[in-house]
Order: sequence, then structure tokens, then C-alpha cells
Amino acid sequence: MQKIYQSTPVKKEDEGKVLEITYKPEAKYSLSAGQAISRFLNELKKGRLIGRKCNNCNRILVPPRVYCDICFRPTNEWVYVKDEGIVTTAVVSYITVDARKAEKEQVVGVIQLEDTNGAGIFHRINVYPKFVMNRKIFGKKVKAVWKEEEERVGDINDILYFQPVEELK
Amino acid sequence: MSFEKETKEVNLRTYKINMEAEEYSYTTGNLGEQFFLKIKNEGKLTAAYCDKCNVRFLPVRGFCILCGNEVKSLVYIDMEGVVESFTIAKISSKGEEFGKEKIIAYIKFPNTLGGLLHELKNVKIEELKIRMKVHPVFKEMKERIGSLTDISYFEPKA
Amino acid sequence: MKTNINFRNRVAIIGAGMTIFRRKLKDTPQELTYQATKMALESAGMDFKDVEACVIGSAPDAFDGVHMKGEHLSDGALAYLKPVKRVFVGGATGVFTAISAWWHVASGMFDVVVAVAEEKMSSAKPHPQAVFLHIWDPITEKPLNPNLIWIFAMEMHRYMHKYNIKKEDIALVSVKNKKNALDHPSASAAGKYTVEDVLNSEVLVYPVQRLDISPVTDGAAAIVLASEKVARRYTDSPVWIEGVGWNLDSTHWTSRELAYPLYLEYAGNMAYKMANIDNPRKQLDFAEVYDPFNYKELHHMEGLKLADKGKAPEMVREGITQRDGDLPICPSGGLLGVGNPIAAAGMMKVCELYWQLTYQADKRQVRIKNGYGLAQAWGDLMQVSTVIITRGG
Repeated sequence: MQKIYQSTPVKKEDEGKVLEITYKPEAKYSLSAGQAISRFLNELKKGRLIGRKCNNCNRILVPPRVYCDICFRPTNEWVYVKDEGIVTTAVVSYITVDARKAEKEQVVGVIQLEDTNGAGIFHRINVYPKFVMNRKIFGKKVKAVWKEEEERVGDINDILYFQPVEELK
Repeated sequence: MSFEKETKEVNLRTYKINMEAEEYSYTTGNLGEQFFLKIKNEGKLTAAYCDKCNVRFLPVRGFCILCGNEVKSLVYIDMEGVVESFTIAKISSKGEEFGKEKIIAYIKFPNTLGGLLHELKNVKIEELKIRMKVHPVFKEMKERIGSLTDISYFEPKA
Repeated sequence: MKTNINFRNRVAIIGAGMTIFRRKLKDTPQELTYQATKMALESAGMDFKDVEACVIGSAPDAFDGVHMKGEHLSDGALAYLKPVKRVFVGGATGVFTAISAWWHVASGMFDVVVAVAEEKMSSAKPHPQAVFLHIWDPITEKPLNPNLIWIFAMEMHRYMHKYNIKKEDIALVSVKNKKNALDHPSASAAGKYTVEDVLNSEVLVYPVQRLDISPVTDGAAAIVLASEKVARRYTDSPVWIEGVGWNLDSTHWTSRELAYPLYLEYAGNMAYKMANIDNPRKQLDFAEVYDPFNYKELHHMEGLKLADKGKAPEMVREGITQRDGDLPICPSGGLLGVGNPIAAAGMMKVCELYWQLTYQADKRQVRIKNGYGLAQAWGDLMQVSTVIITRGG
């Protein structure tokens, strides 16, 4: 029969009563974006989406990559893609990154970009939560809404969000 | 490779990020907690004691790696330790100069396996010796929080 | 058709042990590892000196807040001065630890190996979910400040959309597993809940609600593996490892179809082929599929071909997956009921295979007909699965 050793649980109300040693980590990194993502970020600053095309599988990879992960070969050419696509999934978040309650709910999802042969991009979607809950936003066309040119810094947040092309009812 | 020839992006980008959690809070275990409370409340050093192997060891933990049995008790140890090895540090872990050198020593205690890492003070570098005897200097009672830093430093026995 | 590979040793599980799973345990990671290892050794009737090598499983170092966690935990596994290694494949680590220990023995290199998995998620402040931020792409995704639950919510909603699945049906999984866990002595989130309770719990990231998720937990779990000749000396009821499989999909999750876990189908096929199982729905007596979220149990049943695509909810509704049903799923109570200390949770499922197939599962015992049980875990950016199939009884 299964025998259990007694570990010592700390109940929520006893938090602070057991001795703990605390430490604040300070792990700071500077990541190099590489050639493909650097170009992608620099194009975002200009208000454009760019991808890399693999001539073997005919996919356009967005965000761009120097290699094709399916064909395992270098990608072939730079291709601008439309900042429009179809919503494949969407959710409404009521919490922040560290699990605290968010001040305002936020809709995020995956947008399959047009004419890319399957490239999905993860971003915010500007739509009422009810259209997520009734799933009306699924399969609908959305288009990127960009920050003003002078505010853009070359970051994924240069796109404010994606917005339905036709108003949802 | 072909990619590099076609795509010479001049403006290569880097991205600055902060990793990991805001803070870690480590529980110290049942024996560990007692060990730190003995430092805090009594200004005494203890070691875990395995009654099956009759050995004392540091750092304390709830099991004996020699016999594989559970360890449930602490014993007081002689606080006069022996420098097993030392190093002289000039820069902090963040690369900043200390100004004055810091001596970090690994200190063992009589009849006890393992030991403690701590700072050594009140000793001239030229007088530093492996196997020299040192003892702990504790912080004022009211400043202690139950941590190894309740020991301000070790110093040679006068 | 059985895979044509020759192993030096047949490998059996001859002991298992786990700590209680709780929101926070006072014991240190090493001590938790020790407790699980010790229990597994006692259950096998072995001393740690009989153990030749050790495999340690633990998820990101950033949870315990200790780098090189494998090395850190090895003393607790009583593995000092022994061949030790640590494995890590995200949430799928627990089962992969057992798989890795399997090839230690199957290869003929060792006769007795301990596999132990530990996780202490209470160390990271303010919440371990913040640590998960760093699994996203640091440049193209992380600046959007994603919460971990977002990806699972997106996968769940895609799954619901593609097969028109109702939240009520998904909620039944939480109800079942939390009820099953009432009989598990280590459980931290067991209870009698109704579908309404689940649907009325706090909405975190629609469609994910509080009771759709397993709680973050501290804990450890371990098994002892032995070659056939050693196993026969220690027990009359060894639990044989008959098949193992693992598979990893692309990290570019936005370009994948999220409604179906293809990588799991491949991992499952690998294990089924090795175990000579061609009709898992009939041949398996029960399965401990990975259930960190309730929809994942359904998703994984489909990937493992235990249900047709989009049809797992029907099986749950009809009671087939209950402990007394035709194909019990998560009779332990799973992660939803017992708790989710990442790597330890996967190992807990392998422990359950041992207890069920040696009739030590007490009130949790399912009916053993063919003697086959399966455990599975899943992780990373929704892209990896690990599968193990055992036979006993």
C-alpha cells in the first residue's frame, strides 16, 4: 500500500510565519535579433509587414526566419505581406502577466495572414468581448491598426491591434 | 551561405529584457528553520545530526546522504572554525570594485562534515593562512532576521 | 506490428512514491526529492546503495529559483557519486524522466535506476505565472505582455470552435478529476464540484476559468526501475515498461492548427507500435493523460486515438472515462485534482500506473483486464508530448 511521508504544508494564513530567505534576481539580457527579425522590426517602424519566402514549400514566414523549419533550407526572398488576415482563435484576458487582476479586459488571438500560406501572427484584437464569447470573430477578416509614424520604434507594439474590416453585429 | 549574400541588414537590432521573477522566497525546511532561529535567537551555530551514522553535517537538511535515513535533530557545535580555503575578491558579482578587498573563506567546524561560506575580517592578507582558527561575530540581537547574514563576519581568534 | 528493436534488458517499475502536493511546502527542494525517493525505495524494498544511477526531472530552474537544479537535487535523490543526469522538456518532463530512466536500464548499462521529479513553484514571487513569460518568443511575442494562460485559452477556444464543443462538457472533466482525487492521499485540489461550480468560477482568460485549471503546487514523485533479472528478485508483480514515445512540434505555434495535437499522435504511435498495441481504445485498461487544464484531457484523448477527433467530450458525458467506466481516464484525480508541480505531476501519473497495475491503488483501483495502462505528459509552447505504456496485473 502507498505510504506517504509527511512533508510540511504551509497554509495561506500561515504565510510569513515560517522562516524564508528572500532574494531579488537581476538577470538582464541583451538579445541579438539576428538578420531576419532585425529587418522585420525595422519594417514595422515603416508600418509594413515583411516575411521571408521559402521557394520549396511556398510558405511566407512571418515573422521572417533565415531558415525554413519544414524544409530545413535557407529561405529565398523578402516579400511584403498585407497587414490583414483571418482570426483563427481569440480569447478575453482579465488578468495581467503575473496573474493579478487586470484593470481592463483585453482581447488577444492568432491572425492567419493573407496570402502567406499559413503564417499566423499573435496580437491584440480590438473587438468587444461578446464577439469572442459567441465566437463571431472567428474566421473574420481583421486589419492592423498602426501607431502614428513618429511614435513607432520598430517593435511588435508598433501595431496597436488588429481590427475587424467589417463591423460585427 | 546564400542567405547572408542576399540579406545584409545594416541596422541589426538587439533587444533588452529582464528575466525571471521579481523575487524568490526560499523555504528553509524544518531543520533549516531551526538552524537559522538558533543563530537569530541564541547566537549559536548548530549542525544536523544523524544518529545512525553518528555524524554532524552542514548545511543542515532533513536527510543523511551517507545512510539515506531521515534526520530530525540539530546539535550545537563548537563555533571555533578552521579556514579550509579562502579567496580574495576585488570585484562584486556585478563587476563593481569593492575598493577594499574582501576575504571569502570556506570554514569547517570540529567533528562536522561540510561547512559554511562566509566573509573573513580583521585579518591582514599577508597573515591569512589555511587552517587558521576563526570564530563568528554576530550582529546585534535586534538586527538579526534569521539568516546567515546575522553573522556579520568571522575573525581570527584573539 | 511490434517494432523490431532489441533491448538488452526488459525494464520493470518495481516501486513508486510521492510527497503530498500542496500550494506551498516548507521542505526544501532537496528534502522533497529525498522524501519521494525514499518512499519509492521503500516500496521497492530496496536500499539506496542498491541504486546504480539516477535520472532527475525538473522544469525551468526559474521556478525553484535555483540554477542547475539537477545538480542541486541530486543529493536529495541519494545519488551522490553516482551517474546522474537531469532531463527537461517543459511540462512533459515528468514522463520523460521515466522514459530516460527506461533507456538507462534497457540499454544494459544499469540494472537499477531511480527516476525522480521535483518542482517547487511557491518560491517565485509574485506568482510563478510570471516566470512563464520567458517561454514566449522574446522579441515578437513577449513585448505584448502575454500571460501563460493566454496560449492555453487560445488553444482551448480553437478546439471548441473547430468541433463545436460546449464549455459544459469540458467542465465535466474538472468535476470528474477533482472527485477522483478525493481518494488520493496526496491530493491538494480534490472536492465535490458540479458543472455549475466550474462555470461560475472566476473567469481568468475567457474561455478559461479558475476551476478549469490545475493549481500550482509544490511536490515530488519517484519510481524505481530494474532490469528483469533484478526485478524478479524483488517482486512477483513487476510492472513492465512496454512502450515509450515522444515527439516535438515546431515552436512557431501561431502557424500550427491548434485544434489537434499532431505531435501527440506521433508520440502515441511510437509507443503503441513498440508495445504492440493496435487498438488502444480496447487494449488499454486506463490512461493517465495529462490534464493541467480540463480541455487538455479531451485534446490528449483524441491525440492518443482514445477518442475520434472532437468526440472525446461525448465519452466523458457518457461516463466512459469515469473510474468504473469502460476506459477510465485519470483515475488518480490527475493534475486538476491532485495538483500540478510540473515535472512531479507527470511522474505522479507514472506512479499511478504502478499502483493501479499492482492493485495498490486502494479506493482508486480500476478494473484490470488486459493489464495495459498509459501515462502521458505535455508541455513547452504546446508542442511536446511524452508517452509511456506499462503492463502488469
